[in-house]
Amino acid sequence: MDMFLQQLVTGISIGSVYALLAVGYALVFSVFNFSNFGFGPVMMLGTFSAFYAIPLLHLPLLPSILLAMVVAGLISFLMELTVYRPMRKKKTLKLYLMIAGLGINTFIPNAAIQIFGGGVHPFPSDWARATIQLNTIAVPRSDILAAVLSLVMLAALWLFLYKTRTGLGIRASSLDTDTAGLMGINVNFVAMIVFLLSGAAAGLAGCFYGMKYSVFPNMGAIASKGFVASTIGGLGSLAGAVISGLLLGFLETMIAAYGSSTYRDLIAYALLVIVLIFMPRGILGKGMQDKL
Amino acid sequence: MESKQTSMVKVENLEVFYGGIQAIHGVSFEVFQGEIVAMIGANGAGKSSLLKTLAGNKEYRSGVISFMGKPLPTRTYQFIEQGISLVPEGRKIFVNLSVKENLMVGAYAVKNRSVINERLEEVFDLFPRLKEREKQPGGTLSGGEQQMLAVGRAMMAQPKLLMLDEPSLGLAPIIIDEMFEKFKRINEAHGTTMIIVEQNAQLALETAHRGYIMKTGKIQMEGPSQELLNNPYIQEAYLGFGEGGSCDA
Repeated sequence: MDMFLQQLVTGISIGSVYALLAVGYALVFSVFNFSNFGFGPVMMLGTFSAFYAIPLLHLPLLPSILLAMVVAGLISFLMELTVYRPMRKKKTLKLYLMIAGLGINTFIPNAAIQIFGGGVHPFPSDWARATIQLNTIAVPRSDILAAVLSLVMLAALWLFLYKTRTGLGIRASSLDTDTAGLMGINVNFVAMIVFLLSGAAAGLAGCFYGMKYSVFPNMGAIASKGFVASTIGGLGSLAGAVISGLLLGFLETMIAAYGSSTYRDLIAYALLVIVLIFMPRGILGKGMQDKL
Repeated sequence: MESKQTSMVKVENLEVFYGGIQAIHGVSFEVFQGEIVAMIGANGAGKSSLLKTLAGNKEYRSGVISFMGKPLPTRTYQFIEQGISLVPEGRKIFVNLSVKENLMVGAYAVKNRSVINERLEEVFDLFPRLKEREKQPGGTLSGGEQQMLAVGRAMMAQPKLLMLDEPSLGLAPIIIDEMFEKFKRINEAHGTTMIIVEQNAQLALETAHRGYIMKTGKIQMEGPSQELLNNPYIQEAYLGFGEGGSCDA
């Protein structure tokens, strides 16, 4: 039982990382109908900004996490501004935007190895590494922080999308960008908000991932798990992204604990293929119109 | 009569292309404040392209368009702030948003909360059915209700120029009549200038003050509605009166 509870906590914490990443993919997909495959580098660069800010600027943990979110948000928006927007303006097929994203996904980590070096580092926070005793199980603070802050971020995102005027504009744009423009919604502004928010989610996820594992230039590869989760949940569906992100994290942890960790990725990707064969639109994606 | 009216939209030598295909060939016309103008023509005559161009949803290659004496804005989202509103063909309501949310999107350019609430009341007054379905997703409404929603959504911005693209498309005849009655009511109550693009020429001309007949991207004929309704050529080509058929319009 203790072992199960221990794994459950781990599952929730890695699941919330996946959920944040999946929500990042879903946000962009819901409005623009393509996946930002440059998302891993966004997460990595955000995490590196916190990684350097903590020792160099003596920034405490929470402000440095915030910094990672801001940096990741800005990098995500920069991608939109310099790569995706010009391509959208030329009415490029969405497939080519995703190919450009794949290019970014290889180019930035390689550039990062040149700049930061290829080393693998622990996340520089002793506070986060320490464990606290809950009854019979020992839980790293980082796991609790991951679960709590992810929940806060997701709740804030929900409130923003469903309770504000700009959120309504984003939801309208996600259903029909053309008509949204006719209604006076500046779609480029919506794009800015969406890319900032999705980047911020990646920055937050990156910090937790760094705390749980380590900080290194290729850490963005984990974002592919977020993509798997957002696809299983139904591309563009926020609720689907959260649910399948948590589910994937839980499943992976249980498999690693009671089976073997070598089966972890095997199961995640097998699940992706199986879900796509039987439910091509994912668990919660009922159709192209069923978004946000 | 037209000489003392103020110009709202003036279009000169407009040319619009879709890729290499020309949709509008040197069209010129003028719409005056407070009037309802009908644009009649078959499929592919260029009517929708014309409305989309005026709403900022389609770029034009050449020509001059002025709205209330000024050039059109440059970005699509700025048109509604200037008072230009389009009810697009096929209504294009946001299916997943509730009726109320759809209306709120229509008021997106309006910042003042109490103005928004006032207009919401006006729209519910005009279309009580929408009030009943306030919380329902737009996609669950019937075709007629969706058209009401599309018109109501446009009304939320209180446009100076309201353009309606095929508002009768796919609706039951009784609903269509009701809808056009509402257009008249909006026009009379708010002095809203309207351009109605329609294939239902009879109804559109009966509602409008003036009409234009478009064919293959050009304006073929224009005049006061009554004149057009009585024109034998139009009766035969657009109003479905067969040869020798009675004409008691």
